[in-house]
Amino acid sequence: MSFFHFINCFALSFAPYFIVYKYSGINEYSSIWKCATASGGYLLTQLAKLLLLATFFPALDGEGFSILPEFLKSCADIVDVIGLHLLMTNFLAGKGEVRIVVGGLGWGLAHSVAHRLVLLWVGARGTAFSWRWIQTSLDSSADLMMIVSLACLTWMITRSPNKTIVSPVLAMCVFSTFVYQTVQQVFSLHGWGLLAFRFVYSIATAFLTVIVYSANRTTNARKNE
Amino acid sequence: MQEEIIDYFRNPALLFYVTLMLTVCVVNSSHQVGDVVETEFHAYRLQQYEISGNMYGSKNHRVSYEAVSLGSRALRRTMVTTWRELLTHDVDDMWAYSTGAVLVFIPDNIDELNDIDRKAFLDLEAKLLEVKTDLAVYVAPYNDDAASILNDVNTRAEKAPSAVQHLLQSLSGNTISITSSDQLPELTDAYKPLNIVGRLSSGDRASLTIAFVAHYDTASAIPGISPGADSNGSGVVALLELLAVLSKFYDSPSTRPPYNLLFMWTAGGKLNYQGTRHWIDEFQKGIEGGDFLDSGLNRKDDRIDLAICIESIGRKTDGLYMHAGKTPADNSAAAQLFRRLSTIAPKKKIELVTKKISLTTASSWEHEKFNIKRMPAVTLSTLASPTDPARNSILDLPSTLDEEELIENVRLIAEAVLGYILGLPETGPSSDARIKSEVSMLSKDAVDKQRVHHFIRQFASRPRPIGDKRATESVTANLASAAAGYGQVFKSAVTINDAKVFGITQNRLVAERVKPAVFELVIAAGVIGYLSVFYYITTHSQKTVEGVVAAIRKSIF
Repeated sequence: MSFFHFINCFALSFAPYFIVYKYSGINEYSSIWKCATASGGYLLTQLAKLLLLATFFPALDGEGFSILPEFLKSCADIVDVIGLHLLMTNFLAGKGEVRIVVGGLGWGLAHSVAHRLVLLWVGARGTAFSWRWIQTSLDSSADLMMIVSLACLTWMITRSPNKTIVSPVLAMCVFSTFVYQTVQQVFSLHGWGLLAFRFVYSIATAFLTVIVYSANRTTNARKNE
Repeated sequence: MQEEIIDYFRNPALLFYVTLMLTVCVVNSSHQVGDVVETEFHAYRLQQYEISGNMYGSKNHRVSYEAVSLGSRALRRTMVTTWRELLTHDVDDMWAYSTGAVLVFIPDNIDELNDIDRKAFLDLEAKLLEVKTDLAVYVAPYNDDAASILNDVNTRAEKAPSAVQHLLQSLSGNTISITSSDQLPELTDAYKPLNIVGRLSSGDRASLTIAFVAHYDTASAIPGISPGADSNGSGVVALLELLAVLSKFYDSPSTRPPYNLLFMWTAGGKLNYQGTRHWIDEFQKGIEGGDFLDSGLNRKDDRIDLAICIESIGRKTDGLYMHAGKTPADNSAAAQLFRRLSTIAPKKKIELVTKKISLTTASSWEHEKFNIKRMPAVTLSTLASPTDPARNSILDLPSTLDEEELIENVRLIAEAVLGYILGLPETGPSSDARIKSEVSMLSKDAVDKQRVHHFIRQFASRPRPIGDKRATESVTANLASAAAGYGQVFKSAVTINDAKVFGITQNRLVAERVKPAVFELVIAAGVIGYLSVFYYITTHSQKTVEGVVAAIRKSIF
C-alpha cells in the first residue's frame, strides 16, 4: 500500500506540470529543453538566495515565529524575481506570453521537485497513513498558479508603463510564503484549512494578475496606436 | 591526472548537483511535522528461558501485525488488551496460536496499587509465569497513547450498525499496525555473566573458610521491569554490608579472626543457580598451583566450613528462617550459627526449615547446590517457602524493602558469624539469666545506614535480568568496584549448563495508524478525477484567459 500511496502523491504533485505543458498548447511554441533551462535557473537562483540568507540571517533558524525577522527573511525571495527576470530576458525566446508560461512552468517544476520529491519519498512510503502527503501534493497545483503569475508579473514590471498596478500584485506573489506562514501561525491553521487558504490566495493572485495583464495590454495597445 | 580532476570540476553537471542537493537539504529541514499518526513506546517482553530442554515464556520477539482486540481472531495479529481484560477472559487458546503477538497494558504506577489490585496483579503474574507460547508477548505501561490505541482497536471491533457503515468502515476505517522497531542482537554463546567473589584472608594456611553467597540477578514474568529489590537485591546489599563490617576485623593482624571469609555474588541464580554451580565445580576441580584463583580460593585444601546463602532478608516480617537440607548435627557450624542467631535476637522468631533436596528438579534454594556436592550450607531468608510468589514478582519493588529490617538482619548475621569465628561463648558473656545487659562485638552503627541506603539505590533498584547483557555487565562491574574497597576481588565467567538465556527483555514498539489497502484505490480514483478536471481546465485555458482579458479590457479600461 505504501508505495502505491507514493505513486498517488507523485502523480498528484507532478502530473499538473506535465498536463500544462502538453495540453495548454505551449509545446507548439517551445521545446521541453527551455523548461529545463528554466529549472536550472531556479536552482541557481536558490543557491544565490541561500548564500544571501546564510550571510545575513545566520542565527535565525531558532524555534518560534516572530513576524519581523520572518518578513526580513522572506525579503530574500525578491532574488527570485531578479532570477526569473534574467532567465526570461536572456535564456528564453519567443513571444512574451510563451516566455512567461515556459519560465513559470520550468521554475515551478524545479520548485516542486525541491520541495516535495524527497519529502514524499521519505514520508509517503511509510506504513502510517496521513493526509499530510496528499495535502502537500495538492499544494503543488496552487504553487503552479502562483509561480506562473509571478513570471507574468516579473515580465510586466520592467515593461509596463504604470508600475503602480503591477507592484502590489507582485508583492502579493513574492511574499506568498510569508503570508502562508503568518496565517498558519496567527490563526493556527493546519491541514485542510491551510490548503484551502493557499488555494484561495493563489486563485486570487492569479485573477489579479489577469486583470493587471489586461490593463497592461490596453495601455500598450493605446501606445501603439 | 591533474587535468582530469580539473576537468571534473569544470563539468557543469557538478554545479547542478551541488545546487540541487543544497536546495533540497535546506528546503527539507525547514518543513514542520503535522498531526501525529504514529507513536513509539517502550515495551517489556515476557520472560523466555530454557531449563533442561523445557522452554518457558514467549519464544518470539518480533512484532509486525495489525492490532485487534482481545477475543477476535488473533492469528497473525497483535492482540491489544489491558491487564484486567486478560485476567477476566479465558485466553488459554490464544497462547496456542503459532504466529502473532500480544500487547498488554499494565498500570503505570505498579508501586501504588491498592490491595485488591495488588492481589489481581499477582494473579496475572502467576498466569504469565505459566505461559508457554510462540507469540511475542509484550507488556507496556498504560498512558495516553495506550488509551487512544485501545480506543481505536475497540471501536473497530464493534460491529457497524448498518451495511453501508460497515462498507465505509472496511474501506476507510483506521487500523493500527504495531511493529517492533529495535533490531536487537540475540545473545551469543560468548556471553558469560560474571561471578564476583570478595575475599578476606586470615593469613593462616590451615584456617577454614566461611562463604556468604547471594545471587544478584532478577527474574519475573516480565524481567525488563522487575527490580527484584528483595529477591535478591537485599542479599546483594547484605553481602556488601557484611563485607564492609567484617573487613574491619581483618585490617590488622592482631584482630584477624582465624577464618577466611568469601563473599560470592553469583550469576544466574534464577536460572537454577548457574553461578553457584559453576563456582562449586571450579572449586572441586581442585585447582593446583596458582596462588589465587578466580574462585577466590588459594589452595586446593581450602575447606568450606559453612556456606551461608542469603536471599530476601529485607522484608518486614518478625522472623528469619534458616533453610537447610536436613537438620544439622549438634556441633556443626550450621547448628551453632542457628543457636547464636536465636540467642542474639531473642525477640525474633528464628526457625529452622528443612526440605529434602531433589536431584532431578531445579534446586529451590541456593544452598542445595552446595549440599548436592556434600558441602555444608544453609540459606537465610525471611520467606518461609521457596515457592513464595514474592521471590520472582514484578511487585518486588524498592518500596517494599524495609531498610531498618534489612540493617537489623545484617547486624544479626554479622554478630552471629563474628561470635562463631572468634569462638565466643554461645550463650553470651554470662549464662546468668538475670544479667540483661546487651553485649555486642559491633559498635552501635557499625552497620552504616547511609551506606546501606546507597547500596540499595545502586544494586537493588534496577532490573538486572541475566538476559539483559548490559544491565548484568554494569551490575557486576559496580559490585566488583564496590567490593574492592574492602577486600580482594576475583571475577570468573560463568558457563551456563543445561539452560539457555535469551536476550531482548525490552523493545521499542511503534504503533501506526494505517488505512486498508483498498483505501489507496479510492485515493487513486480521487487523484485521477482531480487530474481530469485539471486537464479540462488546461485545454480550455488559452481561450478562457483570452476571453477574460478581452472582457476586462472592454468593460473596465
